[in-house]
Amino acid sequence: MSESPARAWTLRRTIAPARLETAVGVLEVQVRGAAVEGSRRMGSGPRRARFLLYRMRPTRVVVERGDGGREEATVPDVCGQVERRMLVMGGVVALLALLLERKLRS
Amino acid sequence: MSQDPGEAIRDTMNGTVGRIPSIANADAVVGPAQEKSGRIAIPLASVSAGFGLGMGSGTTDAQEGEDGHEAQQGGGGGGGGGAKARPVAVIELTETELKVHQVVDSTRITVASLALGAWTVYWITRTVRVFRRR
Repeated sequence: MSESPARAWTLRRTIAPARLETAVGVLEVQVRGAAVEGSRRMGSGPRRARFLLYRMRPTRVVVERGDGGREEATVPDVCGQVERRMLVMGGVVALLALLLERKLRS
Repeated sequence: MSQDPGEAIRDTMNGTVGRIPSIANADAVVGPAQEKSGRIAIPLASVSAGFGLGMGSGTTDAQEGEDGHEAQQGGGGGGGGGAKARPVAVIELTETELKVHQVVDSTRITVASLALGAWTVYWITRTVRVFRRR
């Protein structure tokens, strides 16, 4: 797990892949995401606040078989893809509507 | 217990939040492997969480203590958090092949479609109103 300061008072850790030993071979699950940890003195008093946020999503699976064979597969993110496309479509709809509205008003 | 309340809260805070980084590792996204008739099934999940704690402590003004009232000390704190895990795929592993079966969350897609539909209807209605006013 590598660490890097995201802000002066936070620490961002990138998450190392998970390794699982199975009867077939060693399975490595690569993840996308990070953990951000922070600690801050609020104002001038002795108050303190601490927080931790993390988000992880499996992206790739690698199997190293006992016979030396290696196989890889991608973990699809269908819901995320659909949501992102819908967000873009929403933006396009709003933009087109605003342009049309402006043209009609002029 | 004679421990300073501020110190007690700080200890609790450091103990609770200090343990959390060890939970935030990739093992959290991999479920237990199930083996049946030569096939191994491993569930994968998307995990997100957030925790936060805050505390404060203080004493009454020194002048009050001089007036015969004893200077008092107090402290308080609070915290909260939430976590979410959503299944994303199931790995099927055999002696010869590796397959990843995706888990489609139809509720999430339906909610996103409804939101997009409502958004589009709003913009169309707005544009039609402008068109009618002309």
